[in-house]
Amino acid sequence: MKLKTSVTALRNISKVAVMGLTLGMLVQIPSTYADEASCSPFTPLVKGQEDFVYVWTLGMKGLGDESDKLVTVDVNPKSKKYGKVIAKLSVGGRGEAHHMGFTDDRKFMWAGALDSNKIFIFDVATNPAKPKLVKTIANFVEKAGLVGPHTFYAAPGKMIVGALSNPKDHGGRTGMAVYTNAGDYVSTTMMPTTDGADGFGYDLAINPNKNAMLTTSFTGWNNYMMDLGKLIKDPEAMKNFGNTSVMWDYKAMKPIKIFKTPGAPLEARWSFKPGDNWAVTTTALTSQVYVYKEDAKGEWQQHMVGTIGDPSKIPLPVDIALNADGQSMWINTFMDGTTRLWDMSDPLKAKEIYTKKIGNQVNMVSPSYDGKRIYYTTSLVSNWDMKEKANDQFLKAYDWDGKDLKLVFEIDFVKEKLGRAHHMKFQVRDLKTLQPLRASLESNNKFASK
Amino acid sequence: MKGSKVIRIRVLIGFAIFFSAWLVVWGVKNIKTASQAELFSSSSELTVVSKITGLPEAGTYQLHKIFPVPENMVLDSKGKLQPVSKYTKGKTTLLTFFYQRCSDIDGCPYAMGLFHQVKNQLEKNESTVDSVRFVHISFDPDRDTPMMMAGLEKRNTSLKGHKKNIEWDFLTTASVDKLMPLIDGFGQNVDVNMDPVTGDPSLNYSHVLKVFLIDEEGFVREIYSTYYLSAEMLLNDIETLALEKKKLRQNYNKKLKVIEYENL
Repeated sequence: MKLKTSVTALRNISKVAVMGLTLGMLVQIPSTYADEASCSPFTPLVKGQEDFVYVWTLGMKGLGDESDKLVTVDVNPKSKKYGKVIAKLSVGGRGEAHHMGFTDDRKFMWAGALDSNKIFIFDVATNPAKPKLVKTIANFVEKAGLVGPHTFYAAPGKMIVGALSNPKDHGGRTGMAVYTNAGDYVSTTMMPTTDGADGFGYDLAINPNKNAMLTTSFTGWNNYMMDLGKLIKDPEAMKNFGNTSVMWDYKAMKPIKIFKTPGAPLEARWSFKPGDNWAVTTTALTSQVYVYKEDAKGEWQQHMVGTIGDPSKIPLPVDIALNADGQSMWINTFMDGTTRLWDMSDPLKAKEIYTKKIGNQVNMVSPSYDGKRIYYTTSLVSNWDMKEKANDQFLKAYDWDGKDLKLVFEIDFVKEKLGRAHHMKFQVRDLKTLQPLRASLESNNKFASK
Repeated sequence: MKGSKVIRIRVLIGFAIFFSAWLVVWGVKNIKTASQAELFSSSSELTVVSKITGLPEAGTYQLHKIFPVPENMVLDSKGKLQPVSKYTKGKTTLLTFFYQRCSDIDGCPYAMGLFHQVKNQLEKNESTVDSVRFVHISFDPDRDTPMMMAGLEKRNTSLKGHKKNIEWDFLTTASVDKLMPLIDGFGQNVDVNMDPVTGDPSLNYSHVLKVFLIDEEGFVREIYSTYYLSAEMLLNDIETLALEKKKLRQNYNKKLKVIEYENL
């Protein structure tokens, strides 16, 4: 009996270890900017009431049509269909739907799939309440030479696509591709591998005021899509996670400085409050907050400014959302399903000031521009979300009064046979009401020409 | 609930095992990486930007070909029908869409001011005057007639003490129908604002300012918007294209010399 009990215990521990590794991998594939203030600064912003939330949703086997889809939810309190799904557009198949981003005119949404490498372009302007699929880019690998289209970041007339991997060895070495808004390929820039850089990529964010772009690092297809049992037996694979972040000259698309940022730095955000010019990221495995700021000599420096939760309990920070005024930031931790508000009024002395449990698991957080409405979703990656009863899949909407979050409505994505709720973006009925965030290159009127 | 708690605890234990393994592997990798870095020699990929402008030095970066200027017909300031390629090939071109009644300080007036800053700088050098042109195309053909364009050309291209002026063309089209393929081809967004009371089209347009840098072959090489546009940037990119052309010519001449030598 004792032997049988021991064997059973060992089996249980093994299962737990496997599950733990699975969740560990989940941390490596987090969500990214899903809120208004972290849209590209080249995109007109929804500064008033949003009318719709688009949710890029992963298909679930055995649920509904099982397909990845773009779900549209009515979120205007004055609408009769407030809090309801009003449209869903399936793209056919499950390709690991992950992230999306608007073009610079906010008329089209580019949405990517990490496994199929397809990019879906939706018209979200002709009828914002009912998006339409207008183009599918199915040759991203052949054209860009990259794998895993992850981040979609608008530039004037162009789309920058940050990838996770490459087709040669499916490792973490990767780059960024540039496309025209019409969906034609322009160029590829690889992540650096000298001066301490690991060549890995994940997120990107641009500050036009400083001609600066910050990129972070994660891991390649071999790891993020690998069978878990195989991964944990592969010590070489275990080495291949990002440990650096890079500050770039955005105009030249060349790196200026490489930072050692151990533990897979993920989301990259700039504060666009006038005069701020600092950026932030968090690390998945080490639960740390890093801020990037120029020193007195104008050189970019990285500062570790805080620790999220209790790292010994491995909270796994995932999505972050910097509020439009740069004074605070929401950070979600997946493992405990908790959202956390951080005071960033002095980014070098950041501190946590509020927490609230949202569900068994939580990933994305999307605040409205005025910070009064906050939306949450759940999924990280289809193979790595929690199992059984812990596998919440929802969109939850809260009101924030400055002190507490109050639940306003929620949509159960399993009950509605939709799938795994992932990336969110806001839209309005009338695009003419959008207000651009004006950012310009700082100038002292001295011309570059001699 | 109890069952969920047990699952969560087991998951945490499992992750702790993974995290410990990751830490060990990360430590080993970094020790190995340090010694590998000492053995591995490679030129640095890092670049420097100007502390004054925040921009890279002209000619040190590449402006990729984005798309060719779409074919279309326009009306010049004399009312004559011309192919748009007449104004987008043969010189480096800065092109933007506008309408004369635009009062958006972040829109057309802003671009006009910038174009004048760039013009004043370029006109100090006779070699650049002939190699660069400016083009304004109206997206209000009903009101911005060729006669109006002629007046704008006269006002904006006065000599101002410079020996020679930059070519600055103000163009329009015969109708909105003729204009739209050009608008769509460039990806320029423009919407007619409707009068909230009558529901009729107003005289104002909603648009995001865009400026297009076009090379001598008629390819768009950079797109700027209000949110990323300055005189320094325009001048830097114009010079970058000039240096690219110079380098291409030098390479071509070298090849010619080699061929001539081989034919001796």
